[in-house]
Amino acid sequence: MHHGTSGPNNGPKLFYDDDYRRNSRSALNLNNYQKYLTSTALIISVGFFSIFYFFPLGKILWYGLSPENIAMVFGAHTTWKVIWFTLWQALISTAVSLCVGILIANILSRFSFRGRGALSVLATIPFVMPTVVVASAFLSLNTIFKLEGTVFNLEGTVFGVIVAHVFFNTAIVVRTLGGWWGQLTLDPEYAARTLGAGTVKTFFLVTLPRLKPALIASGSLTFLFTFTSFGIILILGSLKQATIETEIWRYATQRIDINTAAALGIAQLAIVVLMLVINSRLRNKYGTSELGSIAVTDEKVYATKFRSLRLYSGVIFTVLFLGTPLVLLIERSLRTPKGYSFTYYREIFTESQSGRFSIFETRTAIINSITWALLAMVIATLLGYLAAVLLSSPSAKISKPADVLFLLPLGTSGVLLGFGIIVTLNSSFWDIRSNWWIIPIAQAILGIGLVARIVGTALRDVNPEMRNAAKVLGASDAKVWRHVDLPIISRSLVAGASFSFAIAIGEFGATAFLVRPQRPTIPTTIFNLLGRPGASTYGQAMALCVVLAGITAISISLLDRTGTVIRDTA
Amino acid sequence: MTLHNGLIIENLDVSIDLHKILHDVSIDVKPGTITTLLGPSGCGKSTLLKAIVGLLSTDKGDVSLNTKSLISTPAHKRGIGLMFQNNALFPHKNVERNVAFGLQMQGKRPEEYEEKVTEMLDLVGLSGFNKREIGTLSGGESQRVALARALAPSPKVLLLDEPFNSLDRSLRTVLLDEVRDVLKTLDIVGIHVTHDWDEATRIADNIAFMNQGQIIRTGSIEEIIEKPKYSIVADLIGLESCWTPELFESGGITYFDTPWGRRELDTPNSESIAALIRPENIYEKPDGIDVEIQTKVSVYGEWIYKCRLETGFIVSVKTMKNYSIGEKISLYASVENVETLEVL
Repeated sequence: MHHGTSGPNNGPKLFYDDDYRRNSRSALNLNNYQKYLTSTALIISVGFFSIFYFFPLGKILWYGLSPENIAMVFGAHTTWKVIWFTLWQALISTAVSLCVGILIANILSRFSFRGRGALSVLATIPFVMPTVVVASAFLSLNTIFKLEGTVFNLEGTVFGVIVAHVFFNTAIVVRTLGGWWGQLTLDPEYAARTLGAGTVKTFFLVTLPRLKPALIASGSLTFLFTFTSFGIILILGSLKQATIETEIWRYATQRIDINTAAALGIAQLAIVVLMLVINSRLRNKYGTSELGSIAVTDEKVYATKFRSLRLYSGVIFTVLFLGTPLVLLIERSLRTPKGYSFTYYREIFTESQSGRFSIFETRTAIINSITWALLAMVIATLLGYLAAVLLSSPSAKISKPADVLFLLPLGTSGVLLGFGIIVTLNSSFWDIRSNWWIIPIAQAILGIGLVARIVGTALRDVNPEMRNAAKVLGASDAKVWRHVDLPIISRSLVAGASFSFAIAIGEFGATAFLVRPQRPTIPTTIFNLLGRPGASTYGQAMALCVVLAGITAISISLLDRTGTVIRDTA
Repeated sequence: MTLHNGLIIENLDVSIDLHKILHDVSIDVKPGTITTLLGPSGCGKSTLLKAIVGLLSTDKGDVSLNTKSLISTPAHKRGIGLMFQNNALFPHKNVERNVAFGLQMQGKRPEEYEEKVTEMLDLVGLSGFNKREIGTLSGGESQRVALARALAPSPKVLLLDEPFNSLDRSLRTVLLDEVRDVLKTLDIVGIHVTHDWDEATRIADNIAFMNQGQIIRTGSIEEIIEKPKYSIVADLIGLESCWTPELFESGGITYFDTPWGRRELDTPNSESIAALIRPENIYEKPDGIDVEIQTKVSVYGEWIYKCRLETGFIVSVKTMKNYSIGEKISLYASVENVETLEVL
């Protein structure tokens, strides 16, 4: 922070800024209760992550890091081709997602019109759609509009991968950006206008820079997701477009070449860590400069000529782009050779089939998925809360490393984690990789970071003086927690829980490694169904997609009730 | 309305989302004078400023500056400055680049505006603050930067939307005096918005009272104090002994009761009216009405007491004498000095 040494104003400050408050808070002594809570959190979370996260990933490093292996894998031209493709498709997907996201977020946060609520829900849905569902939706789009053979062919092409990525990630951008944008006052924009800037200049010189923190957050998240994207590439790219993630999976499961898979895993991890470092640098630099100037604005700005044109074209584009794939998915799930009916739904719930192909355990998959996702949710919420305690610790010695520790799982690909667990936890005295409960644990790990971030933000909002006030009014430590902390963080806990549920139930990468044929989940069953020919299997896959989307939508509607703005996810 | 150089607002109507916010608003302000818009929260003051500056579109009426209509000119070409309640500085630019923004928009290059930026910072007492980041400024410094930024492109009109509300009293008075001096020196039309009468009297040449989207009373400070006309105006300028009496009629004469006797209305009036008795028209007198002192406040060596009559009626009285709260005194007022006001 820059404190002026010149100028007339070196007297006492009239307004103490955030730094002052932060310093005064870190000067607080931790009481015994807080020390107890912090050390419990420390022991449990570090223990859990060591066994189920660092040990498996460490083992991959161990497998992959022998010099000959590195030389062999990275000496191959194809490896670099895969890395290069993974990078550029992620960058382009991110850039396009940001542009489309800005457009939609602008309409949602700066215009008031009928149906805005519905549009906002529509813009959020893809955010929580399992990748398998998104990929399937685009496959059906391809069939219905007969895009195969045209330049717009979505199957097996880069174009298809990017469009699906944009569809999926636009929602992240809209969600993060919209929450932020709607809370920025319009005053600086007004100021720019009165100072002579037109609408275009105002947008680029004032609005865009003010959105920077949200752009960085959603941009990094989008990059991470598209960089480690698995389901979309596997189904839509159909291995013609190989990325690091799908290559790890292919080498590990189909070619049984663990060393190459591990080396690729190291490359991926290195880029993810690099990305996280850049992200954290950027966050520190642009940070949350304006949080606190909260005033939700929705005013009729000076009616520029193109305002209504912008609104209508934006709404139509959003509805078509985000709505069509979902509608087509439902259409395909209902369409049988004998006309529209619920046949496929009946088939997946009764595990019967009219065709002559083998019967998939679809009902078992649904039950498994729900059970495991619920378990994963409980684990992720509990550990996420403990992690949040560490994240929001007044001591920088704890909060800083915790920040890195819990950001890592957020950026780790499911495939790498699943692969790590497979190669690690199978020692003769502790063979747990074939136990069913490793699946919810792996799914939980991928959600803990998110829960920790959401709850941590809320915990930081608990004014320590409030706890002290409760104390001097006679509340015991437990009561302080019950009456001060809990009510403040409860909404975030619910939000985190529903998020981790949605992540777990749609999780495909890690699960694909860990499930056994006799213990399927919905996403792995969809993938298997799509791999078989026949109208019935295809229809069942679509019906399962709709069921999965439905379950996810229900869990996420809980999240929407809590009204949490996920502004601090990356 | 006479044509003059300055800002003329005529019969302005503004609605937001089909709700009419401003009705038929007319004001004119000459260069080098300041008009304060005074009114309760939500009366449309800020909306009026946004309409003048062109940030809100108008349904009807005209805004003209130096006899030239601005109504179809977009905000960024009107050349009207606006200072915001929360300063609205650009958080991603430093002090210098905030102040330079308007000049950049005029197409000026750094070497052309550097001098002007420094001049403006000197003017608002922030010499040497050029490179400071916005986050490091105190509330008063931020508002000074906002003032420098608004003045840098040399606007003919400066609108001030409760700009010093968040500041403490002493700093606020200092800045108000400075703004007044600057507007007078540069011969700028000033429109200032507040809900605080003291602030208005410190800066304004003229006052325009707004209520529910309309201008209900305009005039100089003296005129307003002399004849508030409406009870809501009396309330806003701090005349507290104002009440709505019950009206009676007897023999064609309308009257109401005051603690000091019956006050007859000059003209028969069936509409509700408000009654006002100013503190300076109430005296201590042994055979007056007994009252009990409820609160006291010191203003420049004089005391203003709020007193309660046995009937529950409250009056304010001004005197040099010092009494304690709860003490009983006797007050007298002449019925002729009870003024009648209109109720909106």
